[in-house]
Amino acid sequence: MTKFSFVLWIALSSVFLFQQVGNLDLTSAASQARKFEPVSGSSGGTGIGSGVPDSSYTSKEPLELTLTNVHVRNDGDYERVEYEIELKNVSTTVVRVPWDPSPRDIEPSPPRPYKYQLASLRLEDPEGSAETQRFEAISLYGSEESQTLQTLRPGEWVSIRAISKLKTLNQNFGEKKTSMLRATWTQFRVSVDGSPSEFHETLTPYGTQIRSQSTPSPEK
Amino acid sequence: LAIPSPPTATYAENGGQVGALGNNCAIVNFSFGANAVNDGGPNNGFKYAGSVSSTKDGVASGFFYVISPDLQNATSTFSLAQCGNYNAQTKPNGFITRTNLLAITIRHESASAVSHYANYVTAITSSADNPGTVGEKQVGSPSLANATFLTNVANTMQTAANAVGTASEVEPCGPDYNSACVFQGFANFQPYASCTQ
Repeated sequence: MTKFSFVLWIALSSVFLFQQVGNLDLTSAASQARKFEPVSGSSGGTGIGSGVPDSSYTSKEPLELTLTNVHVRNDGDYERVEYEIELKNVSTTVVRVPWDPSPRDIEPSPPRPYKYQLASLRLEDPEGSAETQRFEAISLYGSEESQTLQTLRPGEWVSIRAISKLKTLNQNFGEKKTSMLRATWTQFRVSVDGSPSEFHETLTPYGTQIRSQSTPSPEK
Repeated sequence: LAIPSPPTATYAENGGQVGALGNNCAIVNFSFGANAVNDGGPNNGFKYAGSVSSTKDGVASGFFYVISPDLQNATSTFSLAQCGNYNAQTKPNGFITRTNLLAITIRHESASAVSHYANYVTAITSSADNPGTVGEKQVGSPSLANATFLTNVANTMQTAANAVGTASEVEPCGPDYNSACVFQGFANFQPYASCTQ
């Protein structure tokens, strides 16, 4: 390799190493409901506490989440929080993430049982308990068949801008206002089974949740 | 769960490290089924978690712990090295008795108070952190996508399950300290120090 080609190789590597390949603005994107919305569902999970140090039983996650540009309404009641996340592939393998806010787009036609991937993005109070979390999750849908998965090669990243919504039916939020907010990204494999009028979907989490914290600032 | 044999100071719980004389694991499994009200009444279409369980794929939640076989064996080299020459005034650098060390280690992992198990029980019986309790409180409006409601419930229950796991990891006193957190003497790890010095 000549000196010139080596320098060129280094320059190109740095360009491709951290490259943004997608941007999703959910503050304006419309989400269309499915024509045949499942009427029931199920899921599960596991929490683990162990005396074994974390590094000995957890593997490094392929995706890295960064929460940025968190703005709250001036009155501080957190009814509206606008924020942005960056999702970066920090592994050496290709990763695909759900990338469509409309579940209608992953629904097969004519209707039949199907599978898809689901990502859940949500804001949390890192100091709050499970029952005091006030924000509705945002769902992103994707499937190979509908070509609604975003491919992230090693070093590639995407950004998502979103507005949180309060869980309007779960009002027991407590009085404490947090000075910090945490974004959490969780992915599920979903199987939709049964007949169209009684579709049941089963969510199976895969990978582990990834999180990032940031301090909110007043909305501009 | 496994304990090195013989136990080594590298893993000893004195000095803030964990794992050598006892170890534990809290597994907080959960699952749920969700439905929408379908009776034509005023709540028609509202979503709820109709069934929650402390199992996942048929595997129940539980708290598990192990105690070092060398510590349980009264005639092991490790046990014989715990000679009990500690005295707060005359031998402050002395060693704990093997009997006391074994009792404290079991207490540290599994007793009903001042233990990892006690931390687990306190958390999982808390209404704020019990996955089932918080899951059953979740309700979704008719317009909410089914998948989003399911993730709301799953995420809430997962947060609770994680909190229980984290709570169980909080270190109680021991194993060189009794339940009142009074120092009882050092554990004597290999290379074993002589008790006659």
